[in-house]
Amino acid sequence: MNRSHLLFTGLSAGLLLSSASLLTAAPVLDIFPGDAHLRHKLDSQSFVVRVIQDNGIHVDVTNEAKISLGDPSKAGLQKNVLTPKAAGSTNLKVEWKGITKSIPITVENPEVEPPVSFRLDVMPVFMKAECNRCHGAARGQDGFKLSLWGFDPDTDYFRITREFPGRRVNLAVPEDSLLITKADGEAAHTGGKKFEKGSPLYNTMLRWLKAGAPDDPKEIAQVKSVELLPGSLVMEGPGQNFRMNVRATFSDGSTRDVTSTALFLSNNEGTAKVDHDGTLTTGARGEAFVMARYGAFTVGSQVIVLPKDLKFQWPKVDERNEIDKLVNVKLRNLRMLPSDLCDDLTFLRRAYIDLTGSLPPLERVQTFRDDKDPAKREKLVDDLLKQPGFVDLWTLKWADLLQIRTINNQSSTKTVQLYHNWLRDQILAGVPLNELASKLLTATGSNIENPSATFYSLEIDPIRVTEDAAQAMLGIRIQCAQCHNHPFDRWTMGDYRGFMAFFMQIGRKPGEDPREKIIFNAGAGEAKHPVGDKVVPPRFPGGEEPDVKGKDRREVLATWLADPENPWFARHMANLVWAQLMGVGIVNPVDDIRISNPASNPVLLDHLAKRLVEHKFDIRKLAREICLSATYQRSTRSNESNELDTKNFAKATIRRMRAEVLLDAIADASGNSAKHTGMSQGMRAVEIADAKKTNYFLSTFGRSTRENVCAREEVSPTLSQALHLLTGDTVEGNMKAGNLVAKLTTSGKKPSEIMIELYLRVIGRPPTPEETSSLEALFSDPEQTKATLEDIQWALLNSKEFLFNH
Amino acid sequence: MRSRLVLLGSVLSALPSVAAVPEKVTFDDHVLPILQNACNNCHNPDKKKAGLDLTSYGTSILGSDGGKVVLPGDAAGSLLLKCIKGTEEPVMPPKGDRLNANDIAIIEKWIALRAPESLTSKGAPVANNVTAAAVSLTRPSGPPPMPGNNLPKSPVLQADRSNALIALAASPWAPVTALGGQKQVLLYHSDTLELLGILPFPEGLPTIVRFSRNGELVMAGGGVGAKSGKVALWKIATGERIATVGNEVDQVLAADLSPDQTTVALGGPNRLLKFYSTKDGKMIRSNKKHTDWVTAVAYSPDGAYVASADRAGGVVVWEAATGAESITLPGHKTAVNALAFLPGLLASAGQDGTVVLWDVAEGKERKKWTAHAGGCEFVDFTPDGKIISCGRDKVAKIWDQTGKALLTTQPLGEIALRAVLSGETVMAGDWNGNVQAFLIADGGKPFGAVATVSTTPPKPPAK
Repeated sequence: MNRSHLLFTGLSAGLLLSSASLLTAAPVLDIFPGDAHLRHKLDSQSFVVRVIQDNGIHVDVTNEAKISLGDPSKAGLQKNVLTPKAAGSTNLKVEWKGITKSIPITVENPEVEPPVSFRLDVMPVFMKAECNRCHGAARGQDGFKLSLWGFDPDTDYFRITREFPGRRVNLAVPEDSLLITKADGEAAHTGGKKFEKGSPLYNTMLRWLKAGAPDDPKEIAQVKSVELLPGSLVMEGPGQNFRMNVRATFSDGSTRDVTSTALFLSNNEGTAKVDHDGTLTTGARGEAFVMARYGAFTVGSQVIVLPKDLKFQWPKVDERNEIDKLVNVKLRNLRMLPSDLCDDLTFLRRAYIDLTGSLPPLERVQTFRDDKDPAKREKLVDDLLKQPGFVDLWTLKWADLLQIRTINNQSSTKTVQLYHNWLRDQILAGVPLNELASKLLTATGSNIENPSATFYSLEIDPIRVTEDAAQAMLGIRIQCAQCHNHPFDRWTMGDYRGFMAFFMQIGRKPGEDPREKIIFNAGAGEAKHPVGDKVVPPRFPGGEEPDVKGKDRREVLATWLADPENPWFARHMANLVWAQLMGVGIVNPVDDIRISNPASNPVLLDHLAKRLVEHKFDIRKLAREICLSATYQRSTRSNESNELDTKNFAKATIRRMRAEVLLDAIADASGNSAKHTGMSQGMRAVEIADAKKTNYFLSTFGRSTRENVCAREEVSPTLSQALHLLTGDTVEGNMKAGNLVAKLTTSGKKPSEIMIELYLRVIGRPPTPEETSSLEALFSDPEQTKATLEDIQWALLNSKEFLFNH
Repeated sequence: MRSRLVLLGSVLSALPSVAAVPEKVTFDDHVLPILQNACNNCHNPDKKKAGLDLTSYGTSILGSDGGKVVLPGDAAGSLLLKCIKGTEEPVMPPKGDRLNANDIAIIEKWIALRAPESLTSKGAPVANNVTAAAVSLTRPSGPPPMPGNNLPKSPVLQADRSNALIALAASPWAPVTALGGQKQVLLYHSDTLELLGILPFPEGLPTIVRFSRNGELVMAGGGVGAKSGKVALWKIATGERIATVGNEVDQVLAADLSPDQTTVALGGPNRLLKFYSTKDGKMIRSNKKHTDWVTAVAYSPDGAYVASADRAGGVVVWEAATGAESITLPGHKTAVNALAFLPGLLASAGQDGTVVLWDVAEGKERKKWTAHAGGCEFVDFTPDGKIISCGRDKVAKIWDQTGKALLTTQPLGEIALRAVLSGETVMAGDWNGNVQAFLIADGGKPFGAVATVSTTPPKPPAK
C-alpha cells in the first residue's frame, strides 16, 4: 500500500523469523542482502553472513564462512565486498559447517564510470560526517548554514558553491576548499575533524570538487526506500560484533549499498553500539533499537542481547489467547519469565479502576471474594464493560485527545458541554472508533446543532489543526517536519504539507448565537512547501495522492482514515486501549509513534490492530480480549528474571490513579458524594467537560490542561501532592463530609468489623492477620475508638496501596 | 621525585612517535602549526576564549585569565599540557578530535626545553618600506604608473580549472587591471589584454585587490580560510613587495589602503574592523561593532573616513584618524557585498539586489534602486563619477547617479562577481573565473579573444 506499510511488515517479519528460529533445532544460514546488483565501475556491494544457532542465538560468521563466486570473471571479492568485473550474472556461494547458501549477482556496465552527483554522492557525506547537524541549526554555525539532515539539497548546493563565492570551494585547487579543509582537520574547525584525508568521504567530496562542483541534471533518481539488515538480532554476551548492512532503492529501480554513507544510531548504546561503518558491538543484557539514516529515511532493527551461557528453561505457561502467545514469544527471546497471576481481589480492583475509573463497591468485594465460579473474572469484565463508568472514562480519554476546553472568545461553556455530551453519546452508543474519527474530521455546520463541529473551532490555525489531527488520530508527531525533515522519523516537509493540504479548505463563520461557529467546506486554499513555495497536493501520510477534485478534502481524508486497511489508525487506537489497561503502551508514549521510538513488541501491536479491525473498531471488544489475557492478569510482583522489565509485560505495571479517578476514589472510599464547581451534586470528577474547570487537587495531581496536543495527564509524584494528601482539605474534607466512621459506629458495628470494612472500601482487601492484630490492640480504650478508626481510615487513604492501581 | 615523574610522563607519551619529535622544538617552527589547527579557532586575539591567545609566542607565554598556561621547563605542571592531555578540566579542544599523541609530545618537549621561541631570529618583524603619499583628488601629474618590463610573468601556480573571480581592480589612471589568482595577483593591460606581470601572494588566495589612490601601489588581501589572513602592498613599477600587514586567523575578506598609504583597514569573519600601520605592520586599533562577517571596507578619497559593511546588512562610517564611529547607515536587510566611496558619497551593493547611494554627511539614503535581481555582488565608482555594478543576473551595468542604466553588458557565463571600468574598457569576471572585456563604445558586446583571461593564467603552450 505504501512505504510505511511495507516497513511494518518488514519489521514484523524480521521478528517472526527470529522468534520462529528459537524453536528450530537446525542452524539457519542467511546472507544479507538477498541479492547484489553492480551497476557501474565504481559500484560495490558489501554483505554479511549470519547463522542462527540451534539455541536461537545469531552470529556474524562472514569471516569464518567459506565464500566463493560462481564465476570469478564476472565479479571480484575482497573480504565481504563484491565489485564488478564483467557484464553478466553469477552468484555468491557461502558454506558454513556443511550448510550452504547462495545469492544472485548481476553486473552491468563494469567499464562505465558514472559522473559524481551532488545529491546522490555528496549530500550523504554531509549526513554521514554530521555536517548538517550543527550547520543545520536554524541560524547555521559560524556563518555557514546547511539544511538540517539535508532536507533541502538545492539550497545546500547554492550555499556551498555560490552564496559566498571564493570562500567555501576553490575549484582551481580543490584540496584547498574550506569545505574540505574544515572537515579533514587541515583548518581550525569548531566541530573538529570529521573525516581523514583520503577516506571515502574525503574522496567523494574531492571528486565532486575536481569535477567543478557541478549541480545535478533536473531528472535525478530519488531514494524510494531504505533497508537496514538484518531486521532483528538476538545476540549473546558482550563484545560480539555484527556487520549491519544498509541498502537504498531508488526511483529508477536501482539499488545502492549505502552502508558506508548511512549514519548509524542506537537508542541504547549500553546494549548495542554501532560504529560509523555499521559494525554493531554488543554490551550489557537488554534491548536496543539500532537505526540507519540515509537521505530522508530512518530505518531500524531490534537487537536483543542476552548474557553469555544463560541457564534458561521456559516453563509451561498458561496462554489464554493470542496476546499471551505473542507476549511470551518476546519474553522467551529475552530469557525472561512472566510473573504469576494476581489474586482475585487485586484483579477486581484493577479491572474496576481500568475499566470504570472507580473502586469496587464494598458489596462487590465481598461477593467476588466468595464467588466460586471459575469464570468469575470473565463475567466481571463483561459486567464492567456495560457500566456507565466505562463510558465516562473513555469520554475523558477522548476529551483529552480532542483538547476539549473553553477558550476566551472562541469556545464557550455551552459549546464545550454540548461537544462533550455528543462525545459521551458516541461512546455510550458504541460507535466504532473509525466512525467516530470520521465524524469528527468531516464535522460540518453549526457547532450548536452539530456539536462535533467544535472539532474545527477549538483550533483554527491550519498548522495546529494538522499537527493535532496527526497526533490525536494517528499517534504521530509531525511538528518537526513543519520546518525541516523530521530528524528522527520518516516525515519530510512534503509529507507535512501534503497532510496539511486536507485542512486548508475549511471555512468558518459566526452564527446567530455569539457562541456559535459554522464550519463549512470553503473549497479553496492550498498548502505550500516552504522550500520553493510550490503548492503541495493533498497526500496521505506516507501514502498516495488521492483525487480530491470537487470533493470536500476532509471527506477524502476521513474515508482513508476509517478504512480498515489504514496502516496507522487501527494500530494507534489499539495502542491507546492497551496503554489504558496495561499502564504502558506498546509504543510509549502512545502519541509518539516514530521510527526511533519503536514498538516494544510490533507483532503484538499488529495483532491488536488486526483484532480491533475484526471487532469493527469496538473498544469494548478489544478491551475484553486484553482483560481476559493472562498478561493483563499478571501480578505486579517481579521474579528474578523480569525484575528490570518495564515494557515487555512480563509483570503488571504499578501506576498511580489519574487525577480525576483518584479524586472520585477518595470521595467514594470516604462514603462522600462530592460537589464540583459548576456541576450538580454527585457528578463525578471524570465527568467534568471543560479542562479549564479545575480545582487545586486536580491541577496538583496532573490533570491534563488540554492546552495543546502534547498535554496529557501526568501521574508522576510531586511534593505538593504528598503534602496535599497529608495536610490538605481533600482527604480530611471528604472524611468529614462522608462521616463514615460515625455512621458505622452508630449502626452498632464492632470496631474490628468497621476496620475490615474500611480496608475493603479503601484498598479493596481485608487486613492481613498481622495488620489485624496490631490494629485491634488500639481499640482497648472505648473513648478513643472513633478517633482510632478515623486514624486508620486516614492512614489507608494516604497509603500507596490506595493511590496506586496495582 | 617530581622531576622524575615528569620525565617518566614525557617519555611515556613520546614513546609511540619518538621519531616524529624533532631534537629541537620551537614555538614558531613546531608548536604554532599545531595550535593553529587545534586551538586558534577560539584562542585567537579576537575571540580570546578565557583570555587566552595562542596565536603568538608572547601571548601564549602571557597565559589566560586564570594565569600562566605554559611554565617553561615544567611540562607536567603546565595547564596547557594537562588540558590537551585530558588529565585536567577543561579538556581541550572541547569539541572534535583530541590532539594526537605526536602533537602532544611535541608540545610537551617544547615546554620541557624551556619553551624556546624560534631557532633563528627569523621571527623579527620585517621593516616595511612604505612612504606616506600626498593625498590628492585629482589626477597626478606625469605619466600614469605602469608595471615595469622586469616584472615576473611566469605563474606561481597553475590549475586546470579556474576558481570564481573575486578580486578585481582597475588602476584609476593607467590602463591596468589587477585580478586575484591562486597565490598571485595578475596585472593585465586593459586595452591589449596582455599580461603585464605577476605579483606572488604565497599567503593564499587573494580575496580583494585595490590600487592606491595615486595608482602607484597594488594592495592584495586574502589568505587561507580558517587559518591565516594577510594584506600585502607592491610597487607597481618594480613589482617589489613593500609591506605585509595583518596577523589574522582567517581569510581577510575586505581591505583598503588609506589614500596617504599609511594605514590598511581590513576585516573578515571575526567581525572586527582592524587598522594596521603600513610602516611597521603594527595594529593601530580594532573596532568591534559589526554583528557578522565584515565583507567590505572602503576609504573616502580624501582619507577622512573609512566605511565598512557586514554580512547582516550593517554599514558603518568611521573617522579614519581616530577610529570613532561617525554614523551607521541602516537600510540593507541582508548582506552588503561591496562599498565604494566618492567625496561625500558612499555606494553599497546588497545581496537584496540593490545599489544604494548614501549621503555621508547627512547620513541619509540619497538613491536606491534594484540593480541586479538575485543579488548585487559588486559596486564601484568610475573615475568620472558613474557607477559600475554586477550581480547574480550575470551582467555588469554602468549607471548614472540617478540610477539610470547607461550600459548593460551581454550576460557572462555565470553570476557576475566583479566589474570595473579601466579607461574605456569594462572588465567583468564571473563565478567560472572568466574575465571578459567590453568597450563602452561597443554597447555591451565583449571584444576580442578576452574570455580566456582567467584567475589562473593559461598554461604556456607546450614547446
